[in-house]
Amino acid sequence: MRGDTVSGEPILKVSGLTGGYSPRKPVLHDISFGIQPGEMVGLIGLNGAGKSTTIKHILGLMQPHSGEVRIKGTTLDDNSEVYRSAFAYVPETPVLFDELTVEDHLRLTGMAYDVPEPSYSQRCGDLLKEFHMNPKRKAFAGHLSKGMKQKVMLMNALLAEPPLYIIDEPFVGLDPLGIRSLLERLVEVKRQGAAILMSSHILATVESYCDRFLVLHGGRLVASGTLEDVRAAAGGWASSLEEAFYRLVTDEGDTNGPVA
Amino acid sequence: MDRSLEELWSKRSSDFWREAAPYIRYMLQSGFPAFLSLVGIALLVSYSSFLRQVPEHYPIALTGAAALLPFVCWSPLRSWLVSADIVFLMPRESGMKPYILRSARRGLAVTSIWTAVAFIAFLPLYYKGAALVHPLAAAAMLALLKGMHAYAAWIERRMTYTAARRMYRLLRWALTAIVLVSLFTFPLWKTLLFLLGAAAAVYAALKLPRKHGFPWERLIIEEARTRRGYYRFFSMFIDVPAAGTVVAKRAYLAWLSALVPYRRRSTYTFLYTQTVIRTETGGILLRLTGLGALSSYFAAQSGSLDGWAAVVLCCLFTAVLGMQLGTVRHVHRYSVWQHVYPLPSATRFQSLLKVARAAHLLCAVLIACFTVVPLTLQGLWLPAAAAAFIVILYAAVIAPYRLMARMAKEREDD
Repeated sequence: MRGDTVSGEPILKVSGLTGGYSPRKPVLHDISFGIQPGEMVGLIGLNGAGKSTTIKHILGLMQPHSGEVRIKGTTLDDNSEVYRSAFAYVPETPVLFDELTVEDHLRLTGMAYDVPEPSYSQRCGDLLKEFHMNPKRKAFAGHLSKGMKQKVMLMNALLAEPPLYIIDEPFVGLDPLGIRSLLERLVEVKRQGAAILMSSHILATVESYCDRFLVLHGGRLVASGTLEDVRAAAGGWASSLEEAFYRLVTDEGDTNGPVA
Repeated sequence: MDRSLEELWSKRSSDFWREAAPYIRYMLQSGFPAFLSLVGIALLVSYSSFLRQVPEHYPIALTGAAALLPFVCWSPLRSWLVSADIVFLMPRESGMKPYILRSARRGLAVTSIWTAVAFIAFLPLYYKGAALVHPLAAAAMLALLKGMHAYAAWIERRMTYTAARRMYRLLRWALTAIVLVSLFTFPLWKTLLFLLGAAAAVYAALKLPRKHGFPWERLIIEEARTRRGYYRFFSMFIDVPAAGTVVAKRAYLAWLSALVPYRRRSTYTFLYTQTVIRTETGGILLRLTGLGALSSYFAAQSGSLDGWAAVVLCCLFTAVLGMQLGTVRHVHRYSVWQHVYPLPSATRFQSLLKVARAAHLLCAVLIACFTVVPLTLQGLWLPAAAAAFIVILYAAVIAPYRLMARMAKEREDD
């Protein structure tokens, strides 16, 4: 895997992660991967493959049965503040505070991530403009459409400018302009050195924007690496990520253990 | 009514009460009934000592109208409808009339009983005045008004636009206020004439706005709000399933959250300040403060029990404020962000305590002002000093300490 072989400390390192809701029935089996700064990695898999569970383990919302997750070289138990301030998270379903307006959410994030006040005002203005949310800045979260809520989540993550972004299904509910703004911003933060872990079912977009891919199936990492690596894992015949993915998750022979 | 719809109504009603029964039991065991009785007794003592010395030009009709107005106008409708009904029950809209009539009858019955209680409580004061209208005739008028309100409230619910609904409700309340003042001031025939004229005008006006045939969304929103109200009440005594919040801007209180400085350690202070101001807690605190200030002011003015009745009321309302603010600890308790934000979890508890204490002190001191000032003006120094001391001690020290202890215990349980 390139993330593990490239020199330099990965921003996110998952090693031998086995975990799930019950110790007797693990959902994830011995997952290992790393993400370097300046890299965008796509986490793909069918419904129930273990994508959200992997993300929950990285966030520290679930504890591994074995293995560990390190962000910026530290585990959550070692130094929770360094660990948590190193990433921003965008959940699959927008989770907002009903009693806060769009602007209040940005302010709260700015405070929580210790964004200096002048930068906060600047970034806040830019994000509201870029995501076409200026007319809604005073609106309560509860009064926004699903797509707008998703935009607020993304704006909050981008406001914090952390070294790592963990984004779960970012395109659900977004309008075409929103998707474009998001992708442009992700490319930009990546160029500035941020790492991005993005789970999505929109394989064409994942293929065009991500540097590497993690293919989860049945809680195991059945392929990982560049498009070439994934195609090789799928037997080498696939012309696109979508085809390689289809082969990987439908070919029973490949699902019994990790390929890569 | 369509038999299956009738059964659905009964099933939903009994499901709700079965679900609420354990919480009601907790409430009854909590000492809340004893607390209510204390408030009741304090009010009764103040009221009876006030009745013994009603000032000569006391505005009896105005007081009666103010006391009865909310009971007469209040026309709730428990429809038991939920969001999923838009998909599953909507196809049977044509058969919904008897279903909703049953809800309306029940609402009318319950609120009529409350109106009767309020009217009976008002009667002794009424007899201190001219009492031009026989109480039975006045009661009949109130019953007539209740029926008219139930009808008008239903039409309002059907209105397409919120602004129209609010305007008609305001009109309904304003006209009823005039009818009630007139009922307790002028001979009956004059009031009756006015009422018929006003009712005819409102009836005609109700035809104007655009309306839905059956206001599904409105009823679902109202039902959800009523349920939340019940669960909010129960949450003062025991953990209850979380329900969504209703949010109000309360722009006039925005200056309070503007006081929170932009810095990392104030993150949760900012969040909780907005929560207290904008959620139902804020609304309840405002109403409690208003009611507490008003009732302790009247008790203090009447000087009943040498001013001690007012002290009791003032302290009781301070305690209820504390109970309400205690429920804020459940808000955001399971929010994912407390695990994701790079903030020590202790700051959440400290911020919550800080915000709860500040809000409690602010409201309690306001109530205390309405007690202490009239008591001092009458030279009742001791009860005045006692009220000020107890209120500040409770809001600044005792209530925060108890909240802290509860949170510590819940953290262990979690």
